[in-house]
Amino acid sequence: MKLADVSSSFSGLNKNSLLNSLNVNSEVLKQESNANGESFAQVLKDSINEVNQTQVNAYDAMNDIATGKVENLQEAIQKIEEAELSLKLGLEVKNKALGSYKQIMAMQI
Amino acid sequence: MGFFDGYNVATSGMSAQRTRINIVSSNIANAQTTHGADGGPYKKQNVVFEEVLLENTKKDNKNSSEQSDQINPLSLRGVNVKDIIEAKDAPILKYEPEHPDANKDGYVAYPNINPVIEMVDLIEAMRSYEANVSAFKTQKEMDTKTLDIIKM
Repeated sequence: MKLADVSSSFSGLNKNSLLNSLNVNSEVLKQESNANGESFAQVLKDSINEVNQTQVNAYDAMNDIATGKVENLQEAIQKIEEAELSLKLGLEVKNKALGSYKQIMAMQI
Repeated sequence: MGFFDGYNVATSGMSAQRTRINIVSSNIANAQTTHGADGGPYKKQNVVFEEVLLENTKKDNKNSSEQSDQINPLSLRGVNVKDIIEAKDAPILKYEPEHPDANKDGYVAYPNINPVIEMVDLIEAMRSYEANVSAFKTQKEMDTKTLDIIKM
């Protein structure tokens, strides 16, 4: 990940935009709840919040690099890598869930 | 968090080696310094490392409250700079009567620093840093490969 790439991409990106767009979807799912009492919507929301938090941390780290405030380059890089991996994991889980949904919808009745 | 503990270990190693590189650099930079902060010649500095148990892996044990002083063998261990010590080596005396730091006999105390040894230390620290970067990269590759499973 090049610094120039990320700095250009995060200038246009609102920190909470990812969260806001996904909150709407999780409202629909709120009615379902499993036997353990914690609804799938809540689990999804919590994980999205966690992923979002790593993104916010990474943006702060990148800001610090860009403004020269960073004292510890390796820790800033660690935060960025954590954000990248968390987002990848979240994305893959989303793809998987969506794939299952599509397979169900494609079922012959 | 658990998922990122390995990264913390690798990053702590990087931080420790970075400190070591800084210290070796200052030894090289001050190899000829006759007037240190305390007035005497510069003294060669060394770093002392210590093991740190990572906070979030420490309390894996359920009944940790009653045996909190006992070290959990499962906890991950990072590294930290414990202290920076000064070497006790006697300074090297050179006869330079016109030097402002010369003593009454005309001898100037130079730091007992061998630049060759410092360079070897520097290379060693750099290689250690690279090894930590490799550990970090390996962790990342493992996680990426694991994520590939879900794509199937």
